[in-house]
Amino acid sequence: MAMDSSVKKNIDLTQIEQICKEHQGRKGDLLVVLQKIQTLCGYVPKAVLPVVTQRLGATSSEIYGVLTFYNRFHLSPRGKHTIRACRGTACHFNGSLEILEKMREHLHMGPKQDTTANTLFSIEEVACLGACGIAPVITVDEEVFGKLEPENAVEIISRYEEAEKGKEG
Amino acid sequence: MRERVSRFGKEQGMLNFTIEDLRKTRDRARLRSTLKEDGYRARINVHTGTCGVGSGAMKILDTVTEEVNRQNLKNIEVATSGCAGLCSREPMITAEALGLPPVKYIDLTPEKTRQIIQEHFLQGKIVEKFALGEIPFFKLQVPRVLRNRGAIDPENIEDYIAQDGYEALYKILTQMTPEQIIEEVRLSGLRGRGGAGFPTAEKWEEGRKYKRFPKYVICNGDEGDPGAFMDRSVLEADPHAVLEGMAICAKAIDSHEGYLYVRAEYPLAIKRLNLAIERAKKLGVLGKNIFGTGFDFDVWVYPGAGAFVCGESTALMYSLEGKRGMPRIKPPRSVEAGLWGQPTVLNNVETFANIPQIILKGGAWYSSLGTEKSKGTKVFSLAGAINNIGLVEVPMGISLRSIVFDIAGGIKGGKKFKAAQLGGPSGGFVPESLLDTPVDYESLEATGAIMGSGGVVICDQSTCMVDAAKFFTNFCVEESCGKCVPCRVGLQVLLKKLEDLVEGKGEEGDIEFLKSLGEHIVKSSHCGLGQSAANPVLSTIRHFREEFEEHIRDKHCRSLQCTALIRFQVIEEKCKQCGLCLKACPSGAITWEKKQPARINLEKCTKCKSCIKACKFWAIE
Repeated sequence: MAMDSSVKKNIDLTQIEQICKEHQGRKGDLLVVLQKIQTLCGYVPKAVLPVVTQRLGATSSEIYGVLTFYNRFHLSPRGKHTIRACRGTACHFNGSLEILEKMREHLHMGPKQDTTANTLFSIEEVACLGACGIAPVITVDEEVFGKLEPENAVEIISRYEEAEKGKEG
Repeated sequence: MRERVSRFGKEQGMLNFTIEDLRKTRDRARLRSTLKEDGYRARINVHTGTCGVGSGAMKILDTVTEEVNRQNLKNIEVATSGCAGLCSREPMITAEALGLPPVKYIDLTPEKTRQIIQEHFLQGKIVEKFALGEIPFFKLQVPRVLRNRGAIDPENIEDYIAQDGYEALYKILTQMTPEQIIEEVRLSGLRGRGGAGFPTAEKWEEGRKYKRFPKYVICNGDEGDPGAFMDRSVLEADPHAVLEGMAICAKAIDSHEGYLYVRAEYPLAIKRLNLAIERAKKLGVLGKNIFGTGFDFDVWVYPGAGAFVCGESTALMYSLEGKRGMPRIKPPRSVEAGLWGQPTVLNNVETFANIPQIILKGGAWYSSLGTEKSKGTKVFSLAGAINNIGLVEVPMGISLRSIVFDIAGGIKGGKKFKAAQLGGPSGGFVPESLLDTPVDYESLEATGAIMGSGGVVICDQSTCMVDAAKFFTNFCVEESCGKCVPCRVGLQVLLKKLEDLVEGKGEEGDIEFLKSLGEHIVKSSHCGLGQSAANPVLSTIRHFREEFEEHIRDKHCRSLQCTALIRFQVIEEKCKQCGLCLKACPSGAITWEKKQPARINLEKCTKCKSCIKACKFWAIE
């Protein structure tokens, strides 16, 4: 599922209403609804909870339980680009930890911080992207980059940074 | 029940598709794909699986399209297909041309591609230097599940039909009773390819026995084991085979609704599955009144949300119900009370992909390969420190040694083999002394590893076994659902102890502690995840105990991986005075002059290990 993690400052509750309406009264569709909301907003904002509760009949605690159980859900706004660093076995044995650390260092991110201060990037550690043949691997949004050295990973991020600067200028 | 299943969109309208239509489609597709003088004389097949795309396959595809258009080469067809299996040599194309054998070109760049188009396709000369010669990697494989990999366009249903696709479904709908279907599967000896190896026919028979409706068919595509990518490749390269297998199962157990639960980390597989379902329904080989026989089977793709434990069947079903994916105690088993409490048959991607061929060629054909208790073939994903990384399908009973040294081409860079990791965080490490173990469920289990879903990661001498045990334990700590204490708390204690060892804080008695705690976690955990979570620790202690002892007693890591145990000193006797470490050091901590051993200034050293990686002589410890 394409999860465009662009940040939407204003949450459009009418669109959220629309999504929930399609699943009216079907608590079992909770994951699907939350995935759709995340695709729309880039994260699941607290403001949507009353709508979801009312339409689907799930309690706030049930919704919160689901949101915190699954790694893919986010409760705060994400960076414009999502970097997923694979931390699977093949990548680990090929130095994925160093790549992750180099990227964090380049982006001035602390160990627990997942989004950069300028909200351009979010970094996620992923258990395995299943592309072990070209380990170590990262993805930026939906693009896959393999056979990396720490320097390449930094270069890739720099390219995105340059592109963003270009847009501003 | 209907409202529950319509959540993914509107139903497609469909035609009444008959067997004549299927055969016509098949013949047309075969004709279309046959190279001929008055049509396409050649075909350039660009492999665009995730590995290919990650290595630059899209650039190659662009180059091919550009060249073909620029030179107006009307009789060359440009095609795309899934992974060809040899991931480490991507980007790759398969070149077919009249008068030449098919050739795989590997490690491509746009320049090489242009040269290949010029020489192979315009001058009719194979470009030997870019071609993949005949290597044991492909020769020793028996592609059954992978028979269509890299050969068909997964986004074109006609390509699948050209390979006898949906013939098996027609056969069972018109010529076989559910009992006969199950009998054929029993004859094949097929066992669940998700890892546990439960006989497929037995599961289906149970599923058939319960007469509560609706019943569900679920395909488990939540391939979460790090190091495993079989299911991703199958779903990306041949999605219809899985759908057909599910439909056959549905008929056998009398179900009309199916779900494919696929990891969200596999966006390409999800996209291709959705497309495949849409096409199949449009044609009438899925959905309502399939082949006009009155049998309905509808199927939906459900993307996971990032939880390893959802690969456990009961957790997966809770996740499908929109809940937290926490396993429950069995019994009742899912065949009795699964999704929404209804009888449910859940199988793995590879299991379903095997079914159409078993129906078409017969169970006896399938079981002609393999060992006494493990029949047929198994797909493995090979990764790690080997020359040929990729996806292979081998007959059951082949030795691990043959997989590592013949198919995978041995260890990269002339290093030495240390261990084969099988089955990811639920599995274990197989040492050199046990490499002659035949690949079957029981023999692998006896080594302390498991068949698992088929992920194999090869470690060379630079992989520390204590760190490897820590890596998997850390994974299980992160992925434990938190429901039962042995798994939630026990694993954290296990991890803490392993961290101590890696940091040089190990003490006498730690190994016994790890072993006893690990065994307790295995015995007392609630679900499959917890019951196997200590396997990596137990198997590394069993086969590599001396490395644990060195970490504890000598504060030494022979693989030079545990930073805290490295002194960062040059061993003068081993130093060949080549200066490679000087070039690699980013912090200017190394001094070296010609014909002198290097020196490391510990005040400047940041312990980044660049020198250790650069040194070919293990001269820095």
